[in-house]
Amino acid sequence: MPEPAAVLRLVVVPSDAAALERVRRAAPAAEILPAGDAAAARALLEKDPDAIVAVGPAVAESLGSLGREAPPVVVLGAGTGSAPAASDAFVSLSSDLELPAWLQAAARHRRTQRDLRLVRAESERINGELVASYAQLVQQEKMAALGALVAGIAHEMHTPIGSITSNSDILVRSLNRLRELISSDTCPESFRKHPDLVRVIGIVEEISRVNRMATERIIGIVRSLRNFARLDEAEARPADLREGLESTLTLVHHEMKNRITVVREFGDLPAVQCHLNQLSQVFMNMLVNATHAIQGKGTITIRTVREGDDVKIQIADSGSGIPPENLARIFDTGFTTKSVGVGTGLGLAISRKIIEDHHGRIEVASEMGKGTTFTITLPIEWKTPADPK
Amino acid sequence: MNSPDRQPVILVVDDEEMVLVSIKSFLMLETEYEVLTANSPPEGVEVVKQRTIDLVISDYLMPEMDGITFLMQVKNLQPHTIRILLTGYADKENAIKAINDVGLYQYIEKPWQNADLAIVIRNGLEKRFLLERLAQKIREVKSAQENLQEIQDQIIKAFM
Repeated sequence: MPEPAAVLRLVVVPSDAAALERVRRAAPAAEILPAGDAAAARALLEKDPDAIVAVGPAVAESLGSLGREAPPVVVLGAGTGSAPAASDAFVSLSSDLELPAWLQAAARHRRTQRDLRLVRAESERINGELVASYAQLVQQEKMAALGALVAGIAHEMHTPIGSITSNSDILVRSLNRLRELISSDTCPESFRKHPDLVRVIGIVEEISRVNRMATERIIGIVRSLRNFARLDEAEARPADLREGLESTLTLVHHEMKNRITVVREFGDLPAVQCHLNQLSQVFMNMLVNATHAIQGKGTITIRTVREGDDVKIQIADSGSGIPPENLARIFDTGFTTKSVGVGTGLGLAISRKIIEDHHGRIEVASEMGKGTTFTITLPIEWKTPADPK
Repeated sequence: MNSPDRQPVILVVDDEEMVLVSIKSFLMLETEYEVLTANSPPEGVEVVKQRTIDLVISDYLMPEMDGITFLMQVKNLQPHTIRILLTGYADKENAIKAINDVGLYQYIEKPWQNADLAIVIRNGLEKRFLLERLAQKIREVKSAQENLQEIQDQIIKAFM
């Protein structure tokens, strides 16, 4: 790349007429920023000079160390021909005539360093994206394996669950029949009123009722697992997001128990084009984070609302909130505040990637001590017909 | 419901004993049907060869033979038997395809609800007995028509 003929910008200390004149004579094309003393020179660093020219070794000494990012310092000798006596940290020139060539070399060096910094920042950014993509890939593989496992388990459970459901229903029906028989006239009074009989019937009735509740719960969990790990959806199709939210809530129920109240403010939503299993992972992530943010009792509010061609899903917790200095970084790969083994620092990065794949966006607002709200905005239909996968 | 002249006979086929016991117990408690069970499709085929079966309920996934193949054999042996498939969620698509191939009357998803099962069976049997009665009526109409034809022939002969 040809070097642009940039005007060199020099900080010159001290700023007396003789010193300025000396530098101007040696480097006539340069832009000169005069600095009265070392402190002034340091203040001028923010103007991003290409070099600092110290006239006289004593001034150079007073500059001290300027840090790694600082421009190079060149020391002009006290007089023509005299030996330079500046600190080893600085370059000393024995003749002012050497200054232009040295300045050019220094400027080139500075530019190269600046370019390197840009390249490094860019490669760090790309690396971050790669890590996020890789993490998502691993996550997808994990979900696929989990999905296959869950589908297998759900299938294996159909028969025993069917049998148990049927049996508890038969138990209730049998009990009703028994009751009819007992209350008929053919049944002796002494048997009908026998306290043991009354007690046993009461017990059987009660456990039948609980059995029915228990099987209904199992059926609900199996259905949620099946929805959550849905494998049969290679392409994005219209789905009811509330179904995904409900399935996910069933699965994180054990994390919340009686500690957290879930408030559903579900507005009417149209079917949204999506991979519901992927979005359910995002919901899962938000809900688990929300439960972690709440110490003791609290509330998680889930809102769904339609806004024009978009839908919004808000998950708000009454938890501890996120400090402002962390708020900007929470979607970054590898950022976590949880202890080792608790958080991987990938959850929110993957969540953001999934939402972006859905042509949507995810935002966060938080107030310390009041709670955090995540807002996911998704288009009802994707503008581009192509699937991101 | 059209009450049939005889006790309806139902065959349940599943490789899982628990399913057989559950369904048989339910039907014994709530209905007057005769309930036969078979623990495997070959066993079921033997039953179908020996008895007239009004309605058959078969599981889909079984080791020796899948439910659709089994119901196909039932159809070959007794074409008028009402055929019902009991299937897990994952096999649903296969079941729907089979409705056309085998002429399934209905499929029931596991886990099933007894109340639904009862309605499906009752409706299936109703269809079975209505068809049976229809066939009977058609036979009667046919023989009446033949008699009529005979009388007509005799009348024509008498006038000739």
